[in-house]
Amino acid sequence: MKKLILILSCVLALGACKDEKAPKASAKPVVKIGVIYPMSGDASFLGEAAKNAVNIFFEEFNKKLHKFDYQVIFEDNQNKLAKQATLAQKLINIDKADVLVTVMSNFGAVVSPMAEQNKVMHVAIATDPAVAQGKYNVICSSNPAGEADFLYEQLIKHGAKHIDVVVMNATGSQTMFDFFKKKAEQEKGLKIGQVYHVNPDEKDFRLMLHKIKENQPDYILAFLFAPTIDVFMKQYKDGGLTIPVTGVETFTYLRNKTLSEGMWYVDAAPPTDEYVKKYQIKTGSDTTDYAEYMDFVMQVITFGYEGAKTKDKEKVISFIESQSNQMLTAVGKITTEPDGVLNGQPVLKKIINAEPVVIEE
Amino acid sequence: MLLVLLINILIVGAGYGLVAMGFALMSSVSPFFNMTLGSIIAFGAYGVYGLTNICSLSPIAAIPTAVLFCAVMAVLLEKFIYTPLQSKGASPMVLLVASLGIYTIFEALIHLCFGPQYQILGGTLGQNINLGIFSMPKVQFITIVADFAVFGLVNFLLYHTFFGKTVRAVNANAKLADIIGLNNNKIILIVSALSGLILGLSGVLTGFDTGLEPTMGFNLLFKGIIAAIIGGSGSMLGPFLGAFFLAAAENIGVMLWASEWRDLVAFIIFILFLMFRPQGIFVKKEK
Repeated sequence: MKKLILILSCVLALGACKDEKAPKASAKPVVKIGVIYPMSGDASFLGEAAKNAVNIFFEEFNKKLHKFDYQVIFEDNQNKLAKQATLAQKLINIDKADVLVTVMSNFGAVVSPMAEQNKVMHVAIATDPAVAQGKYNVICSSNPAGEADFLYEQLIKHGAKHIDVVVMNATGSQTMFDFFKKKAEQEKGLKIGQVYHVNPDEKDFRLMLHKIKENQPDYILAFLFAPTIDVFMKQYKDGGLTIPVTGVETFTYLRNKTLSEGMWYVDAAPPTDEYVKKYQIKTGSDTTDYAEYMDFVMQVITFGYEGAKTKDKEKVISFIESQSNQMLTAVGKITTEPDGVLNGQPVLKKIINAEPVVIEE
Repeated sequence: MLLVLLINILIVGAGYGLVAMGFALMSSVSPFFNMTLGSIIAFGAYGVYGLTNICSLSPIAAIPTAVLFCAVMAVLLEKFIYTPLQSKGASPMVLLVASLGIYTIFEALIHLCFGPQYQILGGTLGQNINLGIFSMPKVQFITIVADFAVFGLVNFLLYHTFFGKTVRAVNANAKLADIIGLNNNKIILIVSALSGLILGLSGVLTGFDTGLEPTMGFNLLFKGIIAAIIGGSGSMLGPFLGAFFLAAAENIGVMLWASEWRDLVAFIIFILFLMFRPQGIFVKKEK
């Protein structure tokens, strides 16, 4: 009994000490940011980079004076669409998140109507402008229409007359192709030959590549993401094809960049040199894996809340839309379009010595 | 185009065939849908990846080591998980759920150890070899040769050796085999090792051909199971030819329509077989 009393006294004493040393609760209002990202699964590298980006961003942000405290809650969608709605519901109803952050158009499209319905601000890293529809949705993107126009101009400049297209069955790829097709139909300078639709988990392109080889287009436009692009490029090399491959963000996530040596492509606004250096120092990683876009998102959110000086979401979004033009972000200067679309500027890159190098801005 | 189609059927069919034979062999003595076999496939590929990239072993040393590791894993799983469960009277459904659980654990372990990203096994196996009228990567040629060789060897083992007789006895009636004095557990463990070797080899070859990701085993195993069901169990001929049948159907579908319909074609055939010919095409009729 004596021992028990002694132990209890020690625990209570420790508790009291801890209480004294505990920081006093901040008086600032808290903005809860719910981030739904692939933290596991085949795109978890995006989640890891996003988490790094959030840590780096708030490490600096918290040193400055600010009116709100920001609490970031990460939820893992495992890169599975089926999980997206449940996680968004959890963040809205249980965590009472003020802002939701999503990545990729098809995932953003799930949350977009929910954000409208629940009057929660939704910031999506997405290419499909439809995701930004409504009062509460904002897109931080790389300007898909601009990228498609830029790709078209580059193809014409490189003497392309006839192209074949490989499009992945995903909203982002399809949106990009739709923009490109619209531009090609308007300008009429380029013939789009065969269009091949593939599933994201496709592993056998051999027959398709043989068909393309027989068609002899000037270029193959590949609107594919990782890991599909890796398999595609490997089988392209195995098949001995020499028709150049290009597209938008085509080789950004390609693991073995020697497979696309010498090929050019249009890429989303790249991270600034300053950001790359900062990310490398903090994480030791050479590649940012789109962390810069999460930094961009966090900057936009904090800019909106700090600038509007209120938690009223409509006022915050209105402030972002009216004041963020020419804001300097981790992807350089951005432009703001109506209906909550914030864009970075695309660049032309070429794979030189297995590294993407910006050759035109 | 026809030649390319035929070659592709051969390459894809050989890949499916190895998995189908490994699965059929295992289910001949341990009759349930063992999803952990998918992990064994992934272990083969990741084994080579780990041994070549982390331990700096040459592929010549890494490949047999990884394949042997798969055989050991298959034996350990059978000995310490499935045999005890079966001896406690677990139903095939319980065994299926257990195997799914273990598969999930192994997939998570692969994630943890090697990351979730798509990886490529490098080396000279990716280089093309010229076969006169056409050329193909070495690894694809080896896959075709391995598929035929495994078919021949397993058939020889099952139908021309005493061990084969005992395996068939356990397959036909495990209780009776036990009564006449056969050591069922030992036979099951040897078959597990053989199945692990075949599936491990299939994983290694797939890793060299189309790359590796943690979920690769499940996708491949599913196609292997479909091929085994289409072909019919009871002999190795069913899974072996069923794999080519499945590959032909898929590739003709891709040629006529688009590659996005590949899985649709496979699953329609699967459902049709389950409905109208569940015993498979090449099943031996009971005398």
